[in-house]
Amino acid sequence: MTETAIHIAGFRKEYPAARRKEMRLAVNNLDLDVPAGGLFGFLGPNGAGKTTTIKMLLGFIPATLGDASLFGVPVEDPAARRAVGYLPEQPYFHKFLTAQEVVAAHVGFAGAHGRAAKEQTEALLRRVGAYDYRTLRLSKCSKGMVQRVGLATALAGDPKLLIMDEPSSGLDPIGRKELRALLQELKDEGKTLFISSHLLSEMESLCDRVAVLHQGELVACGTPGEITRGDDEIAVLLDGLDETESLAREIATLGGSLARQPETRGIRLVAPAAALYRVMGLLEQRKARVISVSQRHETLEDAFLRLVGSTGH
Amino acid sequence: MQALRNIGIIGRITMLEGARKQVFHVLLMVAVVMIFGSTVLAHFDDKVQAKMLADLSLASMFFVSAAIAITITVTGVPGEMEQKTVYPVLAKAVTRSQFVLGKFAGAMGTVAIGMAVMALAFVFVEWWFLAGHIDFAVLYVVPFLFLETAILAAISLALSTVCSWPLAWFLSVIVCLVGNVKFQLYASLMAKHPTPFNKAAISGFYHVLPSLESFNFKDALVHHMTVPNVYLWQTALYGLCYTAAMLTLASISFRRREL
Repeated sequence: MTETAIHIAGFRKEYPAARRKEMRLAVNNLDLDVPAGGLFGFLGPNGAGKTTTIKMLLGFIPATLGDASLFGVPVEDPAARRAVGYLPEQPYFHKFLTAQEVVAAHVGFAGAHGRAAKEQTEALLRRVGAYDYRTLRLSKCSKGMVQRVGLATALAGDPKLLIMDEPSSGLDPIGRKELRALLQELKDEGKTLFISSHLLSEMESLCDRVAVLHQGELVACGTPGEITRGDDEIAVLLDGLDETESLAREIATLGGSLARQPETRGIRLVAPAAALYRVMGLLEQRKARVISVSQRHETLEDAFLRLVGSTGH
Repeated sequence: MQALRNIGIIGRITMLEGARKQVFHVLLMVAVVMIFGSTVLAHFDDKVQAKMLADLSLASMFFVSAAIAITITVTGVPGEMEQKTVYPVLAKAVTRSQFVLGKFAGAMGTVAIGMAVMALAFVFVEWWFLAGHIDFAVLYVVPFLFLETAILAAISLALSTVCSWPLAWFLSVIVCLVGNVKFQLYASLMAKHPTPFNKAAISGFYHVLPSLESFNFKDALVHHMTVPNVYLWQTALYGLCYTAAMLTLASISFRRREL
């Protein structure tokens, strides 16, 4: 049986609203199980309740209702965080300290000391590419450099579970590529990665499972293949059709639709990919002029927008 | 064991951060300048000179140490919350009590560095200006000044977990001032407000506020008076208990805070 890394049952969080008498609901009735091993994407628009959920998981704020555990240990118990590494969206550290001092402190929190702590600190700094500026004060480091230090602190103590909030925030394209490689490496090592992110195209290629949160509620959970619409679609651009009503009826019986495009004066036909030959037969009968035919598969980003609405509100 | 290590690590970070801040260097420089500056009072005879030197130097030491302790502790926890530096630390298996104790330990470590520098400056000035004379009473006067500062730091820390840092700073300064004139203030207020309700209120405040004056052995050093050992032990015990009580309150209060 697969071990559960994160178990959330009935999480609810209410905050006092601007008017103190009212309460604002940040998370409502959230049930979630994250299996150990693999990368779990925690998605949602701004204000969906992702960070609030992470804060409750790490014991920063108490849940109004519900409970959660990390590898079976209730989150209220600090011991639950022994197996956890956390990278906040914008990691802030004491700016008067050097990268080495910060990472060494976190290695110490994870239980290492003496020579072993020194070796682990150096290994972590090398792993995230921060070794060259280890003696530089963080006040003199760029956002991307601090992000790498944050990553090193999250990895201190070789945690089984990594909770990351927008880990590629502040990284340049090279840094993002290196991060993807590191995440893949960590996944291959058997670690559980719980990542909250907006970069859905990146997440799609890395995630084993995703959960979509919207207005504090879970709207979808599963593998990216389960979340996106499984059937591919074809889109056909047509020209030279005067009468479209009967064609539209027949296309609708195949599960597709027809729409005039005022900007090109053409017609756009969308239908399931499986009905391609039947659609082509219908078009041939009507002597329609086909301008283009394309096949498309719903991406995670398309699914996300479908689930939360294009505005996210 | 890991709990003590966590406190030590947080303390070390706080101390490194505190000792590298410019405000710490400026305050320390002010104190050293005041200690050396007290030697310019050369027109007094040697005995008066020695007394004034000790009086001014110890007063400078206390005010600068109190300023360092209050500034570091009062901004410590709220600053970490505001700058979000608290998140990576508490995301590890570090309890909030360990965090509070670490912040306190770090602040007192910074105060200890400052006090050591000021005490060395004081001893050097005494030795140089008073032709090799060193009053060894400084060996117990300075530790009690440190204990007095520890009480203030613990109060500031507890206040900073329940109110904003400017208010906590203001209240800490009030406690520092009132705590140093508590006995006189109590006698005066009791005489002015003799009604039972007022007396009960004044008495309540009297017992809750720290008796910081008890830690001031400046007069004993200046006037070469002998302080009984029992009194020293009692004062030390009182200081430790008061500090422990304040740190407990700070821990309880911080445990309830939403981050």
